[in-house]
Amino acid sequence: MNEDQQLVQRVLAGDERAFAAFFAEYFPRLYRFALPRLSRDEDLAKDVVQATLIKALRGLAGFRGDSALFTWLCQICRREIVDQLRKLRRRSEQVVLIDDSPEVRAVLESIEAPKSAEPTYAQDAAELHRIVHAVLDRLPARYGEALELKYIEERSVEEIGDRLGIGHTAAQSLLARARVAFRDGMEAVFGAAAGDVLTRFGV
Amino acid sequence: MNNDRNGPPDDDAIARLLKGAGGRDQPDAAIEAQVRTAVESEWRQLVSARRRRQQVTVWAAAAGVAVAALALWLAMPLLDREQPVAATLVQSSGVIEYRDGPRADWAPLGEGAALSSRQEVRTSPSSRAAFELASGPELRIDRASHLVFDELEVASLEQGAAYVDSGTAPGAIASRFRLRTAAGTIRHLGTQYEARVDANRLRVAIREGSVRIETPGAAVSGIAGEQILVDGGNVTRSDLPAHDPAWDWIGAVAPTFDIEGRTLAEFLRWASRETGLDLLYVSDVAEREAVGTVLRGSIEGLRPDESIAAVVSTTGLVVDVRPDRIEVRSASARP
Repeated sequence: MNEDQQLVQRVLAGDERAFAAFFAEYFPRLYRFALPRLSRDEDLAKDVVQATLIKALRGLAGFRGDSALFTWLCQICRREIVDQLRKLRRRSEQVVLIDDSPEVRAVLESIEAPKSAEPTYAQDAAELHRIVHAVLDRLPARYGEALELKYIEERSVEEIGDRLGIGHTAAQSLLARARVAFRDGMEAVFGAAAGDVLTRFGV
Repeated sequence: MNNDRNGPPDDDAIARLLKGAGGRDQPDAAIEAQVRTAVESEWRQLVSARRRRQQVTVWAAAAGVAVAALALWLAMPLLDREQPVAATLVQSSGVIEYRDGPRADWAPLGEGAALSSRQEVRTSPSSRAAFELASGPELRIDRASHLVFDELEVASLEQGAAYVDSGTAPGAIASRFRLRTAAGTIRHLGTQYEARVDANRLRVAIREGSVRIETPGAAVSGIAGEQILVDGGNVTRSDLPAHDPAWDWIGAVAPTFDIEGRTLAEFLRWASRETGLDLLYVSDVAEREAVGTVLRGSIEGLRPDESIAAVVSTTGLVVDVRPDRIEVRSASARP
């Protein structure tokens, strides 16, 4: 039984801490998934994510762990987005993002087992930034958090350890694993020519 | 970024990428609190319902030997969860509920969930559901319907309407799935049909193939384009074309056809089957083009009738959807 399946079993069993962890981990990620697909309408994103999580809980016993829990939640969220837009008769306003394309979606959903030599997808810096965020959201939650603390907030390893409630050595180890996972995720999307992509985007 | 997969990641490249992208959007705290309240409330109800079911099982196990047999009998529907899967919910619109037997409480059923024999499912006045049956066919149920999976190859329609599609895959016709109703049992002979019950009246509409209806008094057969009304001892027949609007609800809960990597010809065959419209290639050229056109993307969220125009617009073919058929012609051909 993998970590996702263990979490699911604990949530189904009524474990308060498991529910808190489930919500804390997946609410922000689903919100970020829904928001750009709904023209950044925050109220609509709230409704969609709420409906997604409620439907997910109702069907949680049917989660078999064939895919990552987040991937499963995203599938439900996609349907909710379509349903909401249909209700609002806003189909024409539906935003199709670069990571909705089958190729990028497949790569993002398989980040735990990255592929190499994938084609380049991003067309501009904004898309590159969104893919960076999408890759962070597909990593284990603590990896993304540690990377943001280190590279965006420029926290020290000690501060990261304090924030995440782990020791200095564990924080260093976590950061190392997070960097490798992030690099692999980005290379899975952009392929072996990641350096060229960075140059092209002036990063 | 270091492209040597065995070497250490390039710290500087990662720093530049992450700084450039900036922090991820964080939901507003008020929004998070509202959603959490709603989701947590739902979770508590679900856990509570689950515990009630488990308590019944615990009580049954703790009873004395004499009572144990009775308790085991009472708890049989709960234990049936270990039975082989009879059906899997593949598509739904609105809330779908199931229960473990006539004495159990109804609980919500999510897409991907499996049901076993003796479990029941119902739709609300606004919801519909599509199931893949372990025995092969696909089964969809209309609004305000109630169905019991009696055995792996037998289901009972207690209320509302069900649609059965035995599919076109090899062996589909061999499926022995039977749909029971109070007025009779329907056996398909490689087909698409709808059964609708209203008290003791049964109406069976056949869209493709043929069916055999076994009533207490006799057996009657029906073929594509017919609908048969069984009311007490009376059997009446009338016409119902495969593209009649009465079939429209089927498309509203059709499982999405994954077009990625499939040919246009395959998609059109699926759309023809779902809509009940005949598929007509105006020329051999058009058919060859359809067979040779590989599709990319997704039609998720679109009904079969809506998806035809969306898909064909990306190809070099022209499709006219007529009242009774889908006509496909090469763009270079004159209409």
